[in-house]
Amino acid sequence: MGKAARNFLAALKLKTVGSKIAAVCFFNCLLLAVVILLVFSKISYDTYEDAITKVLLSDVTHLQDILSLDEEPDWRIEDGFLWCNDKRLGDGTVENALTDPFTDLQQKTGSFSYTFMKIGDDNLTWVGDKKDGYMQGHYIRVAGSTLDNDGKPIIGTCMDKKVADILDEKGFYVGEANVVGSHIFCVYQTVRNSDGEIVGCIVTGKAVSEIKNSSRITSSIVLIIITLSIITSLGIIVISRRWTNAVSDIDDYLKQIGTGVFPEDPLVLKSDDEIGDIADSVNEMLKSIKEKDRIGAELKLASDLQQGLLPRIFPPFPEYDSFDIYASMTPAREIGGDFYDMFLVDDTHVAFLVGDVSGKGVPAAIIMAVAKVFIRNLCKGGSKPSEVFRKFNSVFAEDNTASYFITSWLGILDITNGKLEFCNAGHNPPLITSGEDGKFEYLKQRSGLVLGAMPNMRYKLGETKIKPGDKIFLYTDGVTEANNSKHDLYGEDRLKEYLDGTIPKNFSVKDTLEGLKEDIDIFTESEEQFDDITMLIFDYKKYAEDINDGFAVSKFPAKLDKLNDVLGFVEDEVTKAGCPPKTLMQMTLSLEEVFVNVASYAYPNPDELGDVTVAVKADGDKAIIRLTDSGIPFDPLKKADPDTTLSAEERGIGGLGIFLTKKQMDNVYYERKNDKNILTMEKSY
Amino acid sequence: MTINSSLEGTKLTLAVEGRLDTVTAPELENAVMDKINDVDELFFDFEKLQYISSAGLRVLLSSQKIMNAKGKMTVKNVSDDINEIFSITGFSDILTIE
Repeated sequence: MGKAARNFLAALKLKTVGSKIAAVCFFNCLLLAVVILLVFSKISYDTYEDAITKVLLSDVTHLQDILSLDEEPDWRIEDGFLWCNDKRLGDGTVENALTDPFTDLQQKTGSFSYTFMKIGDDNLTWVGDKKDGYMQGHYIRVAGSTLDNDGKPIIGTCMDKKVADILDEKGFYVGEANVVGSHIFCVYQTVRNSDGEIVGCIVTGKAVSEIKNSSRITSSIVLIIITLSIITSLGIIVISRRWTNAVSDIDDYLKQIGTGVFPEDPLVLKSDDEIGDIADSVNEMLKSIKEKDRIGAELKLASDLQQGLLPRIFPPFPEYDSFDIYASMTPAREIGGDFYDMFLVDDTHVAFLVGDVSGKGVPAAIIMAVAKVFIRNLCKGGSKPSEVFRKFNSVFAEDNTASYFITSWLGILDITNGKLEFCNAGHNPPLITSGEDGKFEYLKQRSGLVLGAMPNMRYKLGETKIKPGDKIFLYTDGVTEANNSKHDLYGEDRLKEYLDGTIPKNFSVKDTLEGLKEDIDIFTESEEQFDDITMLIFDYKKYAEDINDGFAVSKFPAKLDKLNDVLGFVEDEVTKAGCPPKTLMQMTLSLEEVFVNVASYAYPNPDELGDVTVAVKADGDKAIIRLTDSGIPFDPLKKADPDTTLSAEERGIGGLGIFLTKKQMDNVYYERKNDKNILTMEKSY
Repeated sequence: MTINSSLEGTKLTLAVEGRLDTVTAPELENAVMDKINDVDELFFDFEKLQYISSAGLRVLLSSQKIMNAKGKMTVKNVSDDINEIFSITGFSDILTIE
């Protein structure tokens, strides 16, 4: 039964709980209706049979009264006819058959009626074939109401032998009979003569279909049951829809959480039952997921911050062929504070550094970001590594209430001559191949205090000279302290050994670091990495040509108030070269005029912070000064010279400066190159 | 640059010391314009002036224009270097140089 129901449900392919419940209900009600129909119709039919039997029996009596004219019935067979009192019913022939009383009865009560006459046991014949037919009994139909299909009274046919035998034995029979194609429920009552012998039989009957029609009431009941069951099912659907709507609301809500876009509002279900409890649980769950997600997002932010600030494009300075740099940082699971950086301080100096912020997580990443920017700016401002650390430390240590600190190693190399200036603030010393044998050695230098620990610390500047072919390897302790499952550390010896091995193989900087990372991975096997692994390698390929061609170069904001800085820079260079004071003044005057010109006109947009690059080269008898700006194209030399013969009233105010410059310099010329204005002045002395 | 200003009646003397360039020229201009309405004789003493650029020349030119209308302007104690600039720019012909 259960299995059938399950199969039934499966066949319906119902998707909602409500429809399933409703289907089960409907199925059960239907089943109930069928059972009721079967049982009840049987009961009603049986009961009805009894009632019909009584009716038919009274019809028998009624018929007998009609025939006997309410006298005591006197049944007999005379001259081959069946008689009742004075009525001759018939002899088995259609002509002699009495029909009127039977027709009357049928009109009055709706019952069929016939009369059989008992005949001898002779002349019995088999009617029809053996299978569907029957043995004719010794009662012959002599009178009756029923006509056959041709409209003739069915006279002369014999009774079924089985019924006849029962009548002989019991004198009475109730049951269904087939009367010329009609299924009829009949009562057979034998009639006897004065001697008590059976002479015939009265049959009254009603069509079975008629009887069954009257059990329509049963069908109505069943119909009501089915209707009720449909209503009940609909009711259940409606009730359960409320429930299933709540469930599908929860489902939608959870699905939205699943997408990662968390709903703003809590889940609200208007229910005080278990569904309401589920809503509370879901809201609690979302709260804790949001919290976890926030922490996750914060960590992701810190990680992005850390990763995003590290230069990732190699080679970082493709326009420089005198050196090559490669670096990598493999973060540990938790965010660490390792960093590296590499940048050009100016055209001929490259800086590179690694650092490690104590601690992990968001604060470490933020400090690292600040440190990196700070150090870069100090370097670009012209500070030497020791000064960079001193200045950074004093600022950082001042407000460092959380006691974070940074270890770092910073080097600045003059790529034209291999002069390396460096400073160490509590960091692992780098490995360098400056020795004769070409092997890596630790670049020892008395280290300064870690950055941020204490203000007003001094840092010692280290200086060395490297030559083309030398390499410098910087790293953080994540490299040497990588450990395997036996807690052995990778260590400095393994590191040096690996690096030395790369030299005869002529590894590129990228191959070296990737190979080293692989070597570390092989050593640690599958042990979890606890610290960031940061490495940077610098390969000095050749001395860079002095791209400034002997010029001293400095960049200034194109602002009038920088005039004295510009003049001071050039005066220093020219004076060093031995320029006489008079020429110096002429040069200064000319420089002022052209600088003022750039500062006033090159960058018309007041929001644009334009620069002007001043280059100066001076030797014993000649000085060249060159101003370069990226402002709007403007050739000041094109301007017409003022007429110096005019009177004061006639003289305009402009044009004097450039005129003076032209007059005082030996040669002044303008070029427009690479979107830059270049003005060059030459003066011999 | 420093300016020593001395007013005797309607006679103003401005002794300029140091560098008269783009940065400092507005200062001299202010010093001139401050008093020029009450003055009919204006003297610039350039004895200690080391340097003059076109911005300085402009101050002299505008002062000269005003004084031409109402009195007299004289530039005194001009060094050779500065005199050369006056001569290149034609200012020698405009200014009264003593």
